[in-house]
Amino acid sequence: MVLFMKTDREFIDGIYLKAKEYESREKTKQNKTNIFSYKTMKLSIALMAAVLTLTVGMFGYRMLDKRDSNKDLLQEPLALSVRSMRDSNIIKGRIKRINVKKEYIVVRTSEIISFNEEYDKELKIKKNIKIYYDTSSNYFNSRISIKTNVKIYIDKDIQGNWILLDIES
Amino acid sequence: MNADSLDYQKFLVGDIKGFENLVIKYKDNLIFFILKYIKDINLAEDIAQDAFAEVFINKDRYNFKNTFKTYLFTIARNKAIDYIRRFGRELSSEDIFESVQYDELTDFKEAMIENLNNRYKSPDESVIINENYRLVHDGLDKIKKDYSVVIHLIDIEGLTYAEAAQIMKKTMPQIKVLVHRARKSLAKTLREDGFIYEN
Repeated sequence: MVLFMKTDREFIDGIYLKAKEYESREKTKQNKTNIFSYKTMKLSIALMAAVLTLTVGMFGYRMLDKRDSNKDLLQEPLALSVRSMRDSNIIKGRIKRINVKKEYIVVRTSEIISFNEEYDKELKIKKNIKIYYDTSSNYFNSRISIKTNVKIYIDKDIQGNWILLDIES
Repeated sequence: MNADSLDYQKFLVGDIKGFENLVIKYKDNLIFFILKYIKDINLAEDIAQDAFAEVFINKDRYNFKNTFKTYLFTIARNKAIDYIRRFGRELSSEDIFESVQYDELTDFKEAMIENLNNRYKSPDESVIINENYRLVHDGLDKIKKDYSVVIHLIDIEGLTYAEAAQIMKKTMPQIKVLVHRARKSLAKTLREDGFIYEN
């Protein structure tokens, strides 16, 4: 028999004790795993809900944002139109031609409401008025097409060209 | 069917004596083997108990394809490596020297050497051979761990190359190379320690 700290019996009893501990630890671990899996399930549902909400929210926000940006676009020309009503000129008529490349439209006027006598004269001489606009503006892009009965707010720029301030159909 | 398998069969049908026979038969060798990894007698004993506890709990896991000894030593090796990984490092020989359990470890080693030796030799020869064994075991502590383990398994425990390969999770060619290098390294260490080979 070798010199050893534990007797065979002590060693064997130690194994049984360890086995018991090991088994109870395994059970706890299993329970923990079960709880964990339940927790994980709950967590994943919550996470999915959060992601869904976020996605919907983002979508909604983007929609609103888009609407808001449209609103901004709307607001700006409208604000201008208020000014135009006061300082500039309004023509009514039909959009005859659109040149996107050169960024202008040709409007055949049917009615001119001018607040500026000088411009009034000029507008009354011309039947077809070339009006420049910003093609990069979504606001104008969505409104400009060949159509009749449009109300157009216009003003002159530094170079003396007619520019589009607002358009209503 | 060998004695180990018979004992294990008994254990499987619920005879606890079968398991206890196996524990008594292998515990010292197992601790001696674990000492190759963890040079702390109490820890080695603890890990040996863990290995037996795992056998006890998962008794259906053993499939009788390998010997029980191989199966047990594989579990023990894994446990020892797990322990080293978990607690960072292997205890160095200096730690052991400073440790209060140095005497216990030495006693255990001495006793194991004597025990192993007495299995093969007559008492008359054993004094000289014991001394040689002691030198060899001291030499084993000085060479690389893998070398020491493979020599322990093949030359001391008497396992086959295949069994050692399974325990050490290596292929047969790897084990053969390892044994060759281990023996060479041990021979060099022993020569340096003044060991003289008999013709």
